[in-house]
Amino acid sequence: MNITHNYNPSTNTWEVSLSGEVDVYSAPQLKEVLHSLLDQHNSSIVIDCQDLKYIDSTGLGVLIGVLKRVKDNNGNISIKNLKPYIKKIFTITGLDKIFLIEVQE
Amino acid sequence: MMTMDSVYLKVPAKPEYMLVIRLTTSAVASRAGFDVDEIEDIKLAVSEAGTFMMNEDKGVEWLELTFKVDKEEGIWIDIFASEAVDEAVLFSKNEQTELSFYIMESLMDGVEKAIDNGFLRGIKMYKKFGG
Repeated sequence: MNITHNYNPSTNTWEVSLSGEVDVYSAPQLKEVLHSLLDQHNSSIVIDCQDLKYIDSTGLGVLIGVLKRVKDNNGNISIKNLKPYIKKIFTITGLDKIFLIEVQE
Repeated sequence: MMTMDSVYLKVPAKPEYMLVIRLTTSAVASRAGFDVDEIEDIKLAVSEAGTFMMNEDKGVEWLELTFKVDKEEGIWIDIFASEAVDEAVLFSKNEQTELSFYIMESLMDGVEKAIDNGFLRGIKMYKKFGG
């Protein structure tokens, strides 16, 4: 798993790029990075998943936890460029209704 | 008479070995003849089961996976832990476990807990072709 991030002050948004595989091994790192970003600016987050190959329930759990914190500050999390087979996981778990989701063409 | 190919995998119950479980599952499901989308489903379901059974607090040292492939019917997969785990404790300790089981049941044609004297010993699942 690899995470890069950039804060866009004009939109007050963290732009995060998430790639590779998020599982029980890498999810703690994802949690640590996202919470550290919110410690700096508790703003909305846009996560680009163009190169995300895999995410399981541990990764989804991290995103849910971070979303709670973002929503407490009236922000949101947008997830874009999801591969269709990963979007399917968000759909079957109902998470497509609480995150703003955009599927990869 | 139905013939089944069997593949066995035993790995330490540590997060870093989940990748080994996923790679093996993908390879076996591919050899069985599933398509790309079905392979992704099986890989995620098995990975969820592995994560579900992995419980270092309860002294689970290793996970043992058995894949049985029937090239006309589908794939049967058992994921067992070295130590039985109290299911109630498992659910109460980890908020992801319920989500994890829901994903498994959604992606596979059948998922069953292997209970031994009130303790969870493993998870059995199967997926049929075109299921």
